[in-house]
Amino acid sequence: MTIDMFLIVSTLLFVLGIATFVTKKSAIAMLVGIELMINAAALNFAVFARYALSEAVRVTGTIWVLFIIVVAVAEAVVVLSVMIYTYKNQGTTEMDQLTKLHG
Amino acid sequence: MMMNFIFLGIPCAPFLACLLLLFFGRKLQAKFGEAPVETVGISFTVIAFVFSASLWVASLGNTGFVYTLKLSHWFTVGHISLDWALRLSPMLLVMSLIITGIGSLILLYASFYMHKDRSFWRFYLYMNLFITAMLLFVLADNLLVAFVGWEGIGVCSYLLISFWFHEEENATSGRKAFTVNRLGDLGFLAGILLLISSLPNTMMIDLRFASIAKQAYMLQHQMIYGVPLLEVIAFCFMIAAIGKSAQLPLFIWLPDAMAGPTPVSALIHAATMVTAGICLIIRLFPLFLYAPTTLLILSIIAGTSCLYAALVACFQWDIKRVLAYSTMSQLSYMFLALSIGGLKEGFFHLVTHAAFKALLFMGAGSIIVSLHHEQDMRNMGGLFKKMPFIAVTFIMGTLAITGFPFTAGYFSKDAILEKAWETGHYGVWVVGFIGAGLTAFYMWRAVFLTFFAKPAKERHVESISYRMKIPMFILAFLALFIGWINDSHHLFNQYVDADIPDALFLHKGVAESTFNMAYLNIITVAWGVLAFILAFALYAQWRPAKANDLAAHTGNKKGLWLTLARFRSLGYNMERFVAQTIPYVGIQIVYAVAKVTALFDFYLLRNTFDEVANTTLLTSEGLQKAQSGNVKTLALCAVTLLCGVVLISILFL
Repeated sequence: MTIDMFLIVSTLLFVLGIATFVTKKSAIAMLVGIELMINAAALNFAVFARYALSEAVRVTGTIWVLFIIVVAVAEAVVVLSVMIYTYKNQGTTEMDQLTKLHG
Repeated sequence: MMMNFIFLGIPCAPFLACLLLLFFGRKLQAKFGEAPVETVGISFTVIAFVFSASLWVASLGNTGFVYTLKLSHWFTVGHISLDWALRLSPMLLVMSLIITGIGSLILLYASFYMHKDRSFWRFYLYMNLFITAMLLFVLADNLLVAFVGWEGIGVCSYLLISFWFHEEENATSGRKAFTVNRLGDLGFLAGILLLISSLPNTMMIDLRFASIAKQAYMLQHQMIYGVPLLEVIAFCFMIAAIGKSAQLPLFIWLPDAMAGPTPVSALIHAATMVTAGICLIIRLFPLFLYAPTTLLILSIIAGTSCLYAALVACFQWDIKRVLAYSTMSQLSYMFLALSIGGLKEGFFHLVTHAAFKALLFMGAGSIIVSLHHEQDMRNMGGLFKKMPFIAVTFIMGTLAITGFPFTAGYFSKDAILEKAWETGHYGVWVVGFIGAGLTAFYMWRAVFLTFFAKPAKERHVESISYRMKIPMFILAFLALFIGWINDSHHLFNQYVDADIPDALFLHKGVAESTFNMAYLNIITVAWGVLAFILAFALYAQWRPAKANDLAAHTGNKKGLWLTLARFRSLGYNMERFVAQTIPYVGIQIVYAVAKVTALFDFYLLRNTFDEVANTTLLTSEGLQKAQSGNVKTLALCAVTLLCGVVLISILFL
């Protein structure tokens, strides 16, 4: 198992996350995309933590993954609350119909 | 000192008249009528004539003199130094005699012709200005002063042709004359500039006619773009001469120049301006000696012009146009003579032509005035009994021009033909021979139509005053007897010598014995008589046709007559055809160029500009989406930015 394979997987995940984020109409689907991207980044850290040369980096990498998971959760909470508020205001969370950000 | 005064007086006297008329002419005519105006107008030219004549008489024993009078320095630029200077030689003296002498006669004639004209004073102003300019050209010592005179006569030609400028047609004719002349002036200037630029920097250039021979000798082997330099220079001056003397292709102004008053035609387009071209070539002949190709081209142009003009003259109904084309044809004779090296013969013909052509034009003018400005020969006829004096003088002019034995025209024309035969230029002889026959034909046709045919209706004839009769009488006398002067004393033969020494010429071919020459002369005369008989047969009993279209010409004629009639009808329209074809061809060329440009513009340029515009539009539309407020678009932009940063960091960092 070389490092490349893990990195390819994480890149793939990232790209899939981007694709989901950019393509989907529903806000929650975009959130799924964001989560994918975050987890891909976390996977990256994990991979480098596994294949690092020094002990310090190995430990640091693992800690980083834990932090990312926490950050992702916090971010998802924020996004969800924004979505609830948006739903209350605009009546929809479909991205096609939310066009008031210009100007 | 006296000599200087007299010499200077020749061009200055008419100039003085010009100035006086310029400042006081209008007032004089308004207050005192025509008498003072014509006195001023005529007398100064007569004074110039008297001066010229006295100089001529003084020089009678001595035909080799050249006299230069430097008036003042003009300018010096680098190695070019020019003076205002006049030059006198026998040939130039004879020319000034013609200009002032015939000029005075015509001015006297015009005092009756232009009688009661509102712009009487302006006429005399322009005529004197013309005479001044022509004298300046003839008496010039260097090329640039000659150019001043050359341009001056072009301007005066314009002023005089469009004298009655309130008619649109006259103004157009004047402009046409001036424009075509300017084309010739271009050649003159090009010749001067080429000469200046090719002479070495070390020598002082003064553009004098006297140094032309030496300069030509120096430049004889020089080439320019692979062509001998002297050929090009000679060609340029030849173009100038062609423009001024109305040869193919720069002749179109001459028939229309008949829109001017007849005295103008008599002076300018018979005796003086149109001879300026020939005078120029004679004076520059050392240059032309080294340019045989140019002389060949000149002979071809002159030969074609001679025959063309003579043919067209056979079909003209306007008496002045017949004479205009006749002038063009006779000038071709002079050019033909020059092109084979016959300077003396060409000059002699110039002198005799001036006399009899001025006479013919005066006669035509008298006829026109007598018939209350009728110029169409179809409306004339049977005038011999009504205006016998005019008829007789006109016939004497016709005898001269057709080369009737022992008239002036006979001696001069025969001199040219003999020279052509002697030097082996048989083509020139044939052209001259045919031209002589045609000349006889159209002139006698004009005579018969005007004086002998039966008129459609009887016309009232005004009698003309003595002022017109005296000049015509004098010129008739000259037309008959000037030839004898040359024949007995060989005066004219010697006149060109001072300017162009005979030693310059290499005589080609052995002179034929006089036995042969006599035969040729007889043949030429017989040919002229044949033409006379033909004209008599066709026109003496001529009746005016109902209309001038093809049907009227052809009627119920068959075979050969049909062809002849068709040719006649064609000839009538030939000049109009030429005048319309050349602009039409020019317009077609411009139109074709415009079409090509439009294609280029339409297909290539337009598409390019369209593409650029479209691209800009698309880009702006695309960029506009970034501002749409669409969340998804925002997201896409963010991702794109991310990718861009990553790429750049991978590739360049």
